[in-house]
Amino acid sequence: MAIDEVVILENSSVLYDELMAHRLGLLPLKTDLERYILPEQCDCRSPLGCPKCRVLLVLDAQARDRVVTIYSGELVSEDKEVIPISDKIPIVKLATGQKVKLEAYAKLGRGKDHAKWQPVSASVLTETGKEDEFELYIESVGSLTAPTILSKAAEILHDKLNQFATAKGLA
Amino acid sequence: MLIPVRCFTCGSLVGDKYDELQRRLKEGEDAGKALTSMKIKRYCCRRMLLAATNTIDQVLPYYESLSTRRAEFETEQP
Repeated sequence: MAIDEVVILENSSVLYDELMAHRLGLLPLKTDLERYILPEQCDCRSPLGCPKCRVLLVLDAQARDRVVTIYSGELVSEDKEVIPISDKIPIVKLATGQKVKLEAYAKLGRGKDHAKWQPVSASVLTETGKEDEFELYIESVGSLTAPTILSKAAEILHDKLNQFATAKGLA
Repeated sequence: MLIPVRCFTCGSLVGDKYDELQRRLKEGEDAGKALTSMKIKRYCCRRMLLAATNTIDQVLPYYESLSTRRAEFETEQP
């Protein structure tokens, strides 16, 4: 899951709205694949989604008397399971009097649409030397565990092959 | 502006490690060893932290002095 839609209510920081939205989008969020569905598979047809296909995160931060750094830990999520994997990622730095208020909508997505949905930062297939034996190295970014990524990828591939077989009239 | 959230090349999270690295560098620790002990092993992610400059810190003082001046101005009002 990654933040895909941001409604900026107030932004007097030195970062542009777009820049901040981009930073928010890149935050890796802990994801439960069972609980949410892809927006295109959801029947709500709403641009901002419904509780089945999105999570709302709110950020309301202000610098009162000195320069403060706003970290990912200050994002308040409506689902306590869907939160950034680290609460120490800097989002913005505010000078005295500056204020940021926004609503962010996190959605499920695929890596081919945007790299923020890519669950893996490195994957390598190496030969072990023995016949028909390979070693697969998967390094997760942190939103999903490596075993989940592998089983979900296999599941998606299986579905695609089934679709292909039905389209070709093989099944 | 600020430290990027993720590595440009591989996409792993680097943003949360910046503060710790700066603290450890200030204590005189070797940058390479500090990065390795923080489990940043690829050179794509290592350069993200080594080459980052927080230019936002060069901009913020202007806004700080602006707010100080504004506060002064308000107290000067009769």
